[in-house]
Amino acid sequence: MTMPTILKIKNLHLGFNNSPTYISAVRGIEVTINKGEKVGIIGESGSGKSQTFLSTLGLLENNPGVTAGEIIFDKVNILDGIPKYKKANSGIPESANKKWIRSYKKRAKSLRGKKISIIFQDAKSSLIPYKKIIDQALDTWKKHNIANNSEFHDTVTSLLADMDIKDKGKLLDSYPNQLSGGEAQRAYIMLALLGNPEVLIADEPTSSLDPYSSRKIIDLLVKIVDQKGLSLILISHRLDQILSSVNKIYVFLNGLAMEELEVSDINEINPLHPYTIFLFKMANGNFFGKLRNGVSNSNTEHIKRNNAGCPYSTVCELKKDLDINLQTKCNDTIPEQRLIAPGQKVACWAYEK
Amino acid sequence: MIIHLNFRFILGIMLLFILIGMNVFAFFFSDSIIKNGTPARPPSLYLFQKVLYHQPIEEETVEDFFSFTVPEEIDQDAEELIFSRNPKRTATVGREYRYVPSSQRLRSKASFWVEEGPSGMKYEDGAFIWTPDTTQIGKYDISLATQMIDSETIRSIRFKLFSDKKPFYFGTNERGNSVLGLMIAGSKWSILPGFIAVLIAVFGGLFLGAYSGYNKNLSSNIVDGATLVLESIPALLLFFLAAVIFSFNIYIVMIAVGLVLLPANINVIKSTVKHFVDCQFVESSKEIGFADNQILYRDIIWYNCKPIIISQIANCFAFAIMVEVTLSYLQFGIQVPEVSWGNILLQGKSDIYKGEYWMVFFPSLVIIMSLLSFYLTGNGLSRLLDPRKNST
Amino acid sequence: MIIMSNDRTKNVLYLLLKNAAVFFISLFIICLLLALVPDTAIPSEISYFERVKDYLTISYLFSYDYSVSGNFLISELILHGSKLTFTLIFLSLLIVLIIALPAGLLVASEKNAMFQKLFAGTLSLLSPIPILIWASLLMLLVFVFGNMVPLYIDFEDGDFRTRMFVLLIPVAAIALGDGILLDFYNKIRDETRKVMNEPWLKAVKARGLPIYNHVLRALLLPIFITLSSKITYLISGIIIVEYIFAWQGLGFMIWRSLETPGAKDYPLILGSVKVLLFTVFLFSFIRDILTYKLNPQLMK
Repeated sequence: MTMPTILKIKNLHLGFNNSPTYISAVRGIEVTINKGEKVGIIGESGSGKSQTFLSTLGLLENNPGVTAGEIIFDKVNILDGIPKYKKANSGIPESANKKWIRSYKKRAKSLRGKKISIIFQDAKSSLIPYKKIIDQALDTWKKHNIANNSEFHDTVTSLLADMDIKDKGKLLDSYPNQLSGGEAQRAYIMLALLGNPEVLIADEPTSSLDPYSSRKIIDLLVKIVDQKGLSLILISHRLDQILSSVNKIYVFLNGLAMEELEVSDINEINPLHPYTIFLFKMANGNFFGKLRNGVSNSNTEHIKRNNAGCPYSTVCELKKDLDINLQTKCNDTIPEQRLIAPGQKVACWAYEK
Repeated sequence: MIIHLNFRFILGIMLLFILIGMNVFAFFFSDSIIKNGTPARPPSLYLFQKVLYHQPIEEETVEDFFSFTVPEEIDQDAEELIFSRNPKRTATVGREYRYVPSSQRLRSKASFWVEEGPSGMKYEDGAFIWTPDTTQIGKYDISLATQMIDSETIRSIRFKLFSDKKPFYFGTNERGNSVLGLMIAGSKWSILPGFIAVLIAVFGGLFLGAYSGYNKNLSSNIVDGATLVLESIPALLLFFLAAVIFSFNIYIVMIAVGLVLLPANINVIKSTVKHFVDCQFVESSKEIGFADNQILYRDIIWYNCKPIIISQIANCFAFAIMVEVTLSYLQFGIQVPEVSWGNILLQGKSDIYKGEYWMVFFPSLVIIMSLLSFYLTGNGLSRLLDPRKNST
Repeated sequence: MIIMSNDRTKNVLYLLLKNAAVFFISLFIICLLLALVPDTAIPSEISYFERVKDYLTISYLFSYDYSVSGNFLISELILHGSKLTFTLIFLSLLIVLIIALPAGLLVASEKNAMFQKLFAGTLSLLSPIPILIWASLLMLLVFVFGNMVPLYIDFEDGDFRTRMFVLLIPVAAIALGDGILLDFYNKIRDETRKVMNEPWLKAVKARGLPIYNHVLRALLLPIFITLSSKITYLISGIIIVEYIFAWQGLGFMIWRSLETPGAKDYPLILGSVKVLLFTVFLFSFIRDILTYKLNPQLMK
């Protein structure tokens, strides 16, 4: 049963002009999110996972940040009319094409809170420090629902009802610095849902929480998303935390999506890309049975960045088994995503037929 | 020592050298610097005199007395023949004064002559020339006339011409004192009085601020209270009273200046010290056995407060200059026989109405230059010593 | 809504007492110094302490025995003078705010980097020039190039337009001089930048809400603190500012009283000083309260 695609990111390139150098953060990502689907984005810091999704809302720090690609939400391409440059990685100078930047920002702004909501890592510092939670909720509600002021309290109560909070009244009446980390995160989730979005992006929501609260928050997110039929994008660097909660995962490395893997059935998971295998092993050594022969424990040396070819090529074990032509290809050319098995795409020259 | 000098510092040092040079001049040649000339003589450079040309030169059209014909047709060129260039208003003894009234083409169509003027001024070869000799010093009313060849109309212009022995490049004031001399003579009050203020404000601020930031006993509370009180007394009133009580002695006023600048310095040093006092290394140093004073001055202050102190010194000097100028302007500071920048500004202020701007303009420039020299040097030096911090 | 618990009331009272103590002590010191002023009109039998006592009674008690100066009641003179003085000060600061606020807020939109650099550059060049020099130069410009002479007399009799015209040079001189505009601009720019980098503001943006009221609210306290420090600064220099323009405010009256070689008008001086010190007291008290109230960290 195919569900309709709600968010599709194609060939996205993001870069930042840190004069005089140009840093390419994302180099051709392709992500598909279907309605009601729960997707996990795994990667280390700097792999571009947050930046990809911040660009859908126009929240990138560097103007405009996006240098090429398509972001299609509900059949509308936000990046429509993006100017083409000879090299996608050369960056759009800010002065050029203000018109496109303006229209991109305008389209992205119309999505914020209403269609796509995002929750952040540190909830306590994402809440307005000098206002009570109930006042912040009222502001958010007024912006997105102009006419229905009477339904405000009902909506808030119903949203908080499922969140396992001891004293809802006290939470609503307090200032952010009076809440604990978990309470603040719940409050922020409530704020994010007030606009009735269709997609909820959770950017490392548990990185600043203890393991117990992390578990609770992720379960809470899954519960809400299933109840309301939303799509969930769960960005994290901890595979073990999100593996049981999502339908499929994307593995990001150095600005590229290395693998797309369906994980609904735990027994049927078969990671193919060596980096994914490495991550699974780091998550839980005895996790599953099928392992490609010959892949030993990867070295834990920090992966040196290879701008020209496959970012994993500097430490890849699979590469040693390939012949010389393929090895040079690994070093020089960025691998493209190929559909290897149903529900599994890998970007690796070793799987090239 | 960081060799990378920045632009501000170099500019500031240059201006500071100029200021110190003026000071030295003023001390050694104090009386002979101020030259005397014709009162209210404009600056010699044509550029500076252009400002005066906003004042209309009186122009008259005089009909030929004995002609009974009324000129009916006015030649198209006639309007242009009127002296199209403004004459220079100053002349120097021994140098030729030259005034070319209009362009070559128009000159051939008319005749020019001197109606009223000093002897020796004549029209020759397209220009009015005159070389004043030593007896011809003073202010002359000049009237020059022209008549077109085919016309009966005589047009003339009148202006005042100043001639002197020396070319006063910045002009003279109402009494005839050269503005340049006045500026240099006034500079002797710029640096020296500042030292007293700096001594009290900067070094007093250093010690009191460090003491009150490091210790938390009764004396530091007293220092805080005194700081508060000093902050809120209106500064200028304090200087006034100091000036009046001690019969306009500028050095006593500088003590008051130091007192007024003290609170701000104390606060800055105190906040810096407080910031570091809670650090771990203070406790460790005490346990090792270092004396309090050593920790305070050698470790905290010497490493962190150098740029602060340098900019405080520069600001104090600049403030001292400004206070001295202000008080003299109000007639409460340096009294009239002595020259000070404030005095010059005061004397020149009433002459602005007559358009004699140079008495106020050039001293203002010198004051700005001296202030800038301190600010730039202080800013540049503090940036040199601590290039990380961004000083706005 | 501030719930006035015991803790808070104590704090407000403490601030009030602190500022009031500063006010009274400064007045006391001025009385002490004023009694030292050599005055030929005072007979030599009156000792220093009697003079001090005299002035203290004038300033601390509103005794109306000394209520006449020349042909006018002192209270009327001071009222008239304070109207003029405060018009000057507050109008200039208003103009400064009107210029500095939008210019500083432009940082938020992250465009116009060129304009900002130009603006900041010219300002930092012009700002070391003190008010006195600015006033002289501006008067020069207007008189020589414009052939106009706005005098204070015109202010008294004129209509609104003339008054605005006469106020032009003083307000421009005060706004530009001594780095007042520069300080405001820098403060607004730095605070805007600080707020824009706060994570909660980015979260507000992510929810699709407007950020302007949050930015402005964050600017309130810093602007008020700068404002109160500039008011203190201007009041401390009020004498010279009013003298240059012959502006018959409180400072001018103080100068005139101190300048007369004979009997000086002590009640007038003390009255003017009282008004000026009271303004300083008021603004520092409000500033202390606002620091305490608007500081989100103190909200518990």
